Amino acid sequence: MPMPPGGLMQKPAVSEQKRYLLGPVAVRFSAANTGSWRIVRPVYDAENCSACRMCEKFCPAGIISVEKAPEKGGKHKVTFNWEYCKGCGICMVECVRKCIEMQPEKNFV
Amino acid sequence: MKTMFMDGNAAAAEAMRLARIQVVAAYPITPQSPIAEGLAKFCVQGTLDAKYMRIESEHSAMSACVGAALTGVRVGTATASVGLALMHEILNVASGLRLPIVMPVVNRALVAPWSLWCDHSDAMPERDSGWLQLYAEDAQESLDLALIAYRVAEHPEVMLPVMVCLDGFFVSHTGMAVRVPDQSEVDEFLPPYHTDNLLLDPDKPMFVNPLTMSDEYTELKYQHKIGADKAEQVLPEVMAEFAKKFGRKYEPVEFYKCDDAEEVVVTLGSMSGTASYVVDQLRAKGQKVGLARIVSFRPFPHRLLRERLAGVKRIAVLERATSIGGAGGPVLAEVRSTLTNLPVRVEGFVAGLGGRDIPPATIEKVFDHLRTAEPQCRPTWADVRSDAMTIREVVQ
Amino acid sequence: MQGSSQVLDMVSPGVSACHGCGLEIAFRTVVNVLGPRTIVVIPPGCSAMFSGVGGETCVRIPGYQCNLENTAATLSGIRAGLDMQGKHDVNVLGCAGDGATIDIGLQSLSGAMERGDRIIYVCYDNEAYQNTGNQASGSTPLGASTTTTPGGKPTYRKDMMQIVAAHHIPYAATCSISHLEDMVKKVEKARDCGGTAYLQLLGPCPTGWFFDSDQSVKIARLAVQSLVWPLYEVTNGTEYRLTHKVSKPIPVGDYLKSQGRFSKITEEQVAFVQQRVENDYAALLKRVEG
Repeated sequence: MPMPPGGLMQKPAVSEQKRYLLGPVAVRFSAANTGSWRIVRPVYDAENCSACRMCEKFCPAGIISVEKAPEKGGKHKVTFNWEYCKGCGICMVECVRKCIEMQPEKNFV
Repeated sequence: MKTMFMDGNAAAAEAMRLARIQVVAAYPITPQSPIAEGLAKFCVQGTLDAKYMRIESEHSAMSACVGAALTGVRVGTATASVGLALMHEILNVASGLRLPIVMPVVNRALVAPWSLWCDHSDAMPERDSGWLQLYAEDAQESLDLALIAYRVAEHPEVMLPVMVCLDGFFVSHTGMAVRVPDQSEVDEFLPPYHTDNLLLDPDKPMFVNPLTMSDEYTELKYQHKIGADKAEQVLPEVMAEFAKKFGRKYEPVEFYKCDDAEEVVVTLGSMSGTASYVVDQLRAKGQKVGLARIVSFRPFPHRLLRERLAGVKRIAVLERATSIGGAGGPVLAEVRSTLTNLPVRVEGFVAGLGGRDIPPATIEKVFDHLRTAEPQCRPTWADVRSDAMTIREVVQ
Repeated sequence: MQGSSQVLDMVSPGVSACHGCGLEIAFRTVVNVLGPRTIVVIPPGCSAMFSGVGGETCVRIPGYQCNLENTAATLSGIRAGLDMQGKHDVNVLGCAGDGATIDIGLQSLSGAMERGDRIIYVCYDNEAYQNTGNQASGSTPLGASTTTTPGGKPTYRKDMMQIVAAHHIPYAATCSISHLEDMVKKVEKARDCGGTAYLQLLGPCPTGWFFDSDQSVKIARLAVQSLVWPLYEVTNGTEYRLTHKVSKPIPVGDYLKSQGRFSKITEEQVAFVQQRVENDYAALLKRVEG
């Protein structure tokens, strides 16, 4: 789920020959540490969660993962990638069952 | 090889056809329209296998060419005057992205005042755009220089777009017997386009032209400069190869009777033909004069000019362009800069603006003035009328 | 859909879009639906956050940052180049803001639509030049405060969908980040329509519209429910179809007061907007039925 920052988009050639492009071009796929922006973070309580996936689908950064409980009646699981969560709070607002609360980030650092 | 009667426009279009361009995005503008029309005809007749885009402006034309070139195909466009001006923003994009786009430019005066006719005020402002610029003297050169341009542009150490300039009406609409190479000969000279540089291809993803910070911008422009420097070396090599294959010899500067000349006139484009005639006339009278015709304005052939004109006493730079408010016109500034610290005196002359003919009398006047007048910094307007300030009288 | 752990995300998780950015939701959705055989063109603007900087980019697909006014012409050129090489399966996607589309890019888009070039043009609409600090565009609504209309914009926004419909392209539709399944279907239709496709996508902007970052989806929903942003599609410029029916529209005022940018709007203007929204919706329904 989390993309490793950096890393080449193109696989290196077998002979590992270096080649240089000329002109303005980006060849590395990267991710900024947008998690460092957070002032508040979502705190999830599985108690009432129905795995509706509203949080997962509306997260602008796409960093929420919803895992349905393997057995019927079991607790679902929602995880956040803290490297990239900006703490916008959309997941909290869109959660149908109010399972998410935004709490100060400083409580977690 | 066959001989056909064609004008500069037809010759330029034929060169693009022979080069097998694959995408055409050309917006019509006088005096270039026959090129856009000619290419359309080729596509419909099936003599050119290309996607013809009926593009809605010159700015979009160059934008579409950039997009198509980035997918790895050879593209074609052409323009003139205000069309080139409208493309300006994207000209810098094309060169900065190192795209080998070849574009005939049919030189026509910029506006205002409105003019349909020839001068170099359209191409000269683009001398800093990072494009290479070649100037054709006639229809034959319009074809030949275009073919040479594709080879130079696509050279892997150059990778720069090239403007092939031909004088509006004087070249674009003047017919002559043109030697047209066969498709097979051109295919041997110009292989299909291939790039290992910037490319839009899902099999090799890269993001082209993202924001560049101050820590790298200079380096990218330096790469660009190195490409143009390489072109200065590659151009004569390609011209020599062209001569061997097609029998017509070109050089970045064509020197005519300069070896023992005391005075030389520097020209671009169609005025050169008249200039060589005047040189012959004056030589017959015993005057030691010569002509240096600039074919490659970018890269500017500073080495060649320094080598061959170092011993000349006086040089007249005759140009169909001005730099209002400047100390010298575009070509004057380049020649003076090139010959700096040499004992030769360089004077500038402006003539032929807005389609005014440059007859032998004007060039004779230039040589005369060069010989007799006091040296000065700024160019002399060689053919301006004495009533310039009073041509519009209104009844009170 | 974005966020699914099974799907390889075409877009980096760490993008410097504002927190709560409506565009970020949309961009991931659109790009992930279209998949890896896609080339994206991005003009300057908020979507340029995805282009990246220097040697690093936030997209796994090939992309190009064009100029502000030439997204459509660039897309057309790319499609021409691909088609000449037989690469017909590659999607050609543009992701341009409202300023780049409705103001300075209108000519370029109109040309591409008239030619019928097979491109997918997404206009993400955050109703101003947000990336450069919230200057008004032709898309900015009546009464909205921006840095260049600090007293509130005196004119109504351009009806871009009508302009697009007049070109009779095979497919055009409005989208909203509040209705993602609807958006996915529309992206698929755009991809498959065989000609020029245009999507106008509402992406509320917490930074420029002045609301809390957690409200973005909710405000998009209010836009739909108040009929300010009806969800519909137009086929060939003549067949209109509502893709989301609003049974009980809410007052336009409810939508407007949710955002600080309308703090200067007068009651007269609100009434005007209400009437105009109702008239436009009635006209839309007529086209749907007709």
